[in-house]
Amino acid sequence: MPDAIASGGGIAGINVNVSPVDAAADLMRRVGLKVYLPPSVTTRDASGKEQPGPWQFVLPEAQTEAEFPKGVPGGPGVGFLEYRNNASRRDPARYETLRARIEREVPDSRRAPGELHANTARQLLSVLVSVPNVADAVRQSERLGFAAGEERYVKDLGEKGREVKCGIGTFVFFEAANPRGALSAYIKQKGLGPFGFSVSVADLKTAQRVVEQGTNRKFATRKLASRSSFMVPAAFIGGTFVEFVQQVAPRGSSGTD
Amino acid sequence: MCFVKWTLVLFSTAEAFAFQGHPSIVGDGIGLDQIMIGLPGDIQAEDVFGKRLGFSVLPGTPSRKTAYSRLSFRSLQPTLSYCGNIKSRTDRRV
Repeated sequence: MPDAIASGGGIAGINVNVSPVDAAADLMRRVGLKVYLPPSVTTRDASGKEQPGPWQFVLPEAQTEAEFPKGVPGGPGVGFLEYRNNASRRDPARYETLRARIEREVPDSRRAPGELHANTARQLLSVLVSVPNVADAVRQSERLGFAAGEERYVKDLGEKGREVKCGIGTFVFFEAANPRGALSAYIKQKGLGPFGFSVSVADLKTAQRVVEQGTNRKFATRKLASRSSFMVPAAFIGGTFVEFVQQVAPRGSSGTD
Repeated sequence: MCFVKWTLVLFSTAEAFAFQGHPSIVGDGIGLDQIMIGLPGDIQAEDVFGKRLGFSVLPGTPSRKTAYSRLSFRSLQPTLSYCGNIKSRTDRRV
């Protein structure tokens, strides 16, 4: 975290939701990782009875992290947690409460009625990670049961990335093969590791209009059969590449920008 | 000297939306869940994620050591009610 802040901002960590956490810990140990489960908070229910906190982390110990690159599952910057006792988070009324709170506390004339965000954001899709070697990162991820996915060229980065499926999202690993590409320039400044993320939006045109007005810059739209997107370079927004994506077909397919 | 750091946590989704895939460390979890983003301070977080990128950054409940803001994602489709947050944390160290 201090590194990310000291360099002007950036991704400091990624959390993966697992269940059950004990099985996740066992799998990590089987692949040679030393792990620990830090104590979670203790809460009280309505009757005052103590109960375990709403989450439990399982984390690789520092001495084993060097075996996995930064941002690769099992390596530094990637935590695993299980949610527990979180029935309140599943309450449908929570959404309405959240929306009402946003409307009350975060007024934004750009935001359409019913939307939580002016950019129509829906879901975190991917985290983008630069690694020394993509094949090695994929192999390490597969040891923890993450399946390798599609390969795709990202024009805005000047690099080809390889997806690894992580439940409903993906890790996308890149290595800086193009010395003149945007990713190479970023790595020279900030080093390897997580450098960006992708968010799905309901309406890409709205998202692009909001972001272009907010940054006072224009961004190229990239269109594929399965998705349309635009990428905001890290230099404009505090050290993190952010890709906005409108999916137009079931996820899992990709290609070339 | 006061050191301020801000963390944004981007949660994607919903605990109720379990991933059904082949056996992996994810198990019955949803997989990719949160991204934490470090920024130098509160103003930068609101400027970058609110003004520039169009997210709604919620001011949170401050505590003695930390203050939280959240940026939340939730599908408008009830059947895919993923819900998440960007949560910011401000730690002050002397």
